Amino acid sequence: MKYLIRITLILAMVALQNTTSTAQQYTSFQYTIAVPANDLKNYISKTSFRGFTFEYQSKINTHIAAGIAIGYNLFYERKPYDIYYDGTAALSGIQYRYTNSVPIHLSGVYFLKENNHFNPFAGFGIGTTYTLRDTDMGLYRWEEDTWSFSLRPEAGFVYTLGENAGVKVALRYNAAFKTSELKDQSFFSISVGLVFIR
Amino acid sequence: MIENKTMNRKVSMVYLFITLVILQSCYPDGPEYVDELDIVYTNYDPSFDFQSAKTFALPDSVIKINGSDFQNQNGSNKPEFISTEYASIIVQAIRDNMISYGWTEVKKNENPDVIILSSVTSTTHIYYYYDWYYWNWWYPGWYSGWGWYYSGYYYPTYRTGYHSGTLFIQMTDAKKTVTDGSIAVPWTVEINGLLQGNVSSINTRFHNTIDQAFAQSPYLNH
Repeated sequence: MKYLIRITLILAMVALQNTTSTAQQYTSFQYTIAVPANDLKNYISKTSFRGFTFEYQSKINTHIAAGIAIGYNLFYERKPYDIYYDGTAALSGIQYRYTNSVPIHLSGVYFLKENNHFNPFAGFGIGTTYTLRDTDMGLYRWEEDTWSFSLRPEAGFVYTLGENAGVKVALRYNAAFKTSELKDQSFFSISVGLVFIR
Repeated sequence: MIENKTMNRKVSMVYLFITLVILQSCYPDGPEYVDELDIVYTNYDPSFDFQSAKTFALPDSVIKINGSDFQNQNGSNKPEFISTEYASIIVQAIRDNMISYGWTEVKKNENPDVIILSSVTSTTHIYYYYDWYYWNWWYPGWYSGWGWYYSGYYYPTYRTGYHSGTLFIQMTDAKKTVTDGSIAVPWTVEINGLLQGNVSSINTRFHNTIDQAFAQSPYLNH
């Protein structure tokens, strides 16, 4: 899956190079809350309140902006004392489960309005999601990690507070597809943050 | 305009810094108490008929394993033992659980069906394949050249850990002892945890974890 990162980075460089210096550029830091889905939910059912997203986008025309988005979310759950079976073996104890997720996407958004303070958008990202799963039991840690092919549809709005700043709210579905190491590690998220406009 | 850009960059850096500090500070803590780190592993040979086996023998001592190879101390042919205080807790907990599962205790020379051997290691490595010679002083009819044989299941994997303690309990088949020169071990238990706490808390943890080993091994129940 390493080639996915390489492709993402190359495409990001091309996208950023293609933007002219006069184009409006958005840099955004967002606090991100994530709700696990699919196999990630089977492993950790609790919502993650530990996350952020960084985005850099440049306007191609009045309606479309493109760029790159990188995020981080930590999912955590303490599983109460239980017995885990594997064939004839049984292992009991308390499990502490951690999933670190790093989505990296090339993103494009379509703004529904022109030069409006309140500007809703719909967007799509393509790239990769790195997942590091740690299961701690007793003094032992089982570690699995993978790079998944990833798609990320989103919808939200930007509310500008002046010429150079605004607030961004986005609802996303971060699809991280199954690999040979881990099953589907997808999650929903809501991000709220500041946008710096240049 | 240039000042504005510089200001924006500074604000961005401060924002990023604050975000990273907040994320770092709220990283989940994990376990808070020593007993939350205790784990109990059991495994068994499904081809062994636990229901036909009725009697067991067990030594009153629990040996201390210092390495995978047996070091003959003072020419006594005996290994080190853990203190009788802790040994009696471990042995009694095993005895109580076996009896409550319908087994009968006999002496080692009264032809027991199974023999239960307990050992403890406190090294950073866990020696599952410790030297058979550790038990040479006690095991009935033991002779040179024997080893352990874990039939029907994978013997526990060799792992490294922190400065932890492991109680390793092996139930051997005393009737059909030799398979390719080895002692058959139809049931094993490993209890692992941190070597911390006062005597009373360690006692409680031994009791709870040994009880758990039997609770998760219902095939031993008659």
